[in-house]
Amino acid sequence: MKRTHREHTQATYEMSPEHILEVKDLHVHIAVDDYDLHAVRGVSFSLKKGETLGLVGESGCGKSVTSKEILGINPNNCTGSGQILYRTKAGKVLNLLELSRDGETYRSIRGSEISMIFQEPMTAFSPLYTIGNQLAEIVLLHDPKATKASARAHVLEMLKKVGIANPEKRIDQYPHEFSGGMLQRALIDMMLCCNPDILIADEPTTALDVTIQAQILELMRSLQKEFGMSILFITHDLGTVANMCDHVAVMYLGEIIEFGTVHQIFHNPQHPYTRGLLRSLPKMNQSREKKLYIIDGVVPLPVELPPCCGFHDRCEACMDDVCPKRDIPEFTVEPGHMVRCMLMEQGARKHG
Amino acid sequence: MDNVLLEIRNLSKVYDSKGVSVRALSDVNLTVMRGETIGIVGESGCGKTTLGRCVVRGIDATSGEVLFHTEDGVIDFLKATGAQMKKYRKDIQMIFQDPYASLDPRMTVFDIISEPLRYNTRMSAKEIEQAVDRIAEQVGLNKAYLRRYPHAFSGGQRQRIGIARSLILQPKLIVCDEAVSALDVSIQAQIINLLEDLQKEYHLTYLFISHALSVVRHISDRVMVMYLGRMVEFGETEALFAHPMHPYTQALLSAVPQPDPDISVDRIILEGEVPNPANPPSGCHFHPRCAYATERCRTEAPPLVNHDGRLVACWECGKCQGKT
Repeated sequence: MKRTHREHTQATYEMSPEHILEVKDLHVHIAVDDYDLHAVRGVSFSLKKGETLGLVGESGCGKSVTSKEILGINPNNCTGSGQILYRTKAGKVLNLLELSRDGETYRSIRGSEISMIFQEPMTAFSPLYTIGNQLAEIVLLHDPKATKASARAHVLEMLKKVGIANPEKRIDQYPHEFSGGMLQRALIDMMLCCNPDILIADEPTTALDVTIQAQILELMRSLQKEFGMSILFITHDLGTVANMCDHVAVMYLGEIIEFGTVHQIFHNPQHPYTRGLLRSLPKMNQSREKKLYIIDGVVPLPVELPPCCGFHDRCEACMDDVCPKRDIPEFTVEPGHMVRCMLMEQGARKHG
Repeated sequence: MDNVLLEIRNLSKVYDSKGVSVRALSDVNLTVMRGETIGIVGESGCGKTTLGRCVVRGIDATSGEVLFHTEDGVIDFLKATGAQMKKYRKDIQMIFQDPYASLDPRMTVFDIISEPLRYNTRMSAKEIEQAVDRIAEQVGLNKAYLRRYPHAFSGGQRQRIGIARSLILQPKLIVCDEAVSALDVSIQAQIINLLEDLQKEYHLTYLFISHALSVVRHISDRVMVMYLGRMVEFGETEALFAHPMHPYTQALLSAVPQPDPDISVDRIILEGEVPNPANPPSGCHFHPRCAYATERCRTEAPPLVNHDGRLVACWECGKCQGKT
């Protein structure tokens, strides 16, 4: 992404005092060979201090691209536009999209204030250095007063905190000596070393076994309580979302098609896609005889999309004269519950 | 022919490498009836994939028997002669987890699906084409796309190709090794329904290996829970999920996040991780993580005991029953 603005040209932005992050009308285009992928198409959401927001959707819906845009770590063929407002620890409101990606300001935010953990803990560490070495590096980078000895002590303490048994021995081991669950703990530890305000967790438990997943989610919850950070939780697993998040944004083809509290989304879903997704999931408490509900077709590629509802060709309730032909505005179901679907205009609530 | 399709008896597999031997499977017993789906669940390293591969004889088991009931009587798949294998191997097929790695990128979809026919039958080119067309339609592949290469298809479509390939020889048993794990939720439902429809139509038997417990619950008639190479619990799906008896099964089921914010489960968070199978704990493999472990659990491996049709390997079975 090209961000040529000089840092001092940063305009002043207003932001609601309770928010720590506001994403406004974010678009991301990815240049692939000879076409242009419109991966994120006008995404807006905000994050309060201490809350967990779930960004849910299937592969290719733009959830990861959105999160990486916040950190400014998308590859160079991505171009972002819109606003990403962030309130720094010092209380200044910045539009992250205007910062130079390699600039001093962004680097002071990335990691220290907004941190990220990834899906595959196995590939997030270098195999050539010990875990302790890699974690201490973070402390040394972000805390100018730290010495090697103090960094090591800090890392040891953090390793204990994330529940790694025998940290004195573990700190000098290499990543291949750790299991997946332990590496994810170490990664969370790496993130904690800087005590960030926002944690972006991109499918943090998808590669882990269920019992380990339960441990990691529990750990994240308790750390959030202790440190009060906000979490942007990105996943396709609706079960995890229901257990972890306060608010949920459902994404489809680069748009947020439904937004609400976790109760609104799971108990009163309005968008045909959200409903279909919830119904197509095998549930532990439902009769096994029933056939699973199917959403026909596949997610299309977001190339040269006309203004339309991205879901129209898979939607049972598609209105042929409206849905494929125009931009779909947001409708409010009840305070805090937003849906992007033309059915809402007609008041035809009982569809699907 | 009786109703039994497959009997697995005392199946063990030991992997040897550089002086370290890993017991991936120890003494697994299982009887599979015709037309049923057996779910095999467990975490990574529990031996579920090894079990599946031993059944198709993709790897050779160290000891035990895989008895396959055929028209010509019972044959032990592990000791079968070349001629027997040639005749009966086509009755057992496999669907793999990764739809990207399990299809040859240099073959067209038609070649991929028809390859088993070319090796195992003497069908004419025309017959082969008809057979492929029929199966493609059945699994929901557009006939017009059969001359394309796998890269042109999405994950769900590729999994349909894999299913078509496994079905083309009209097998009796299909080993589905994490067949839907790599797919998105909406695509996963499509494939699960397809597998169920095909089962009804062809009277197929599935060994459904998966770590996704809600999927296993949906598709299986009976479920086997494995831990570090051993079967720890086996029983009817509904009963097992409603009242798990082994402490490991209880923890496993409670760990599954439910897609409903109002369901609050008393989550049993297990301490630690699955131990290294090269150096498994003594006695009951689960004892270091078990809240009910006693001295006996540390020294003696518990046998599988039948509790009204449910098989459970636990010395303290009954102690934790109040918990569920």
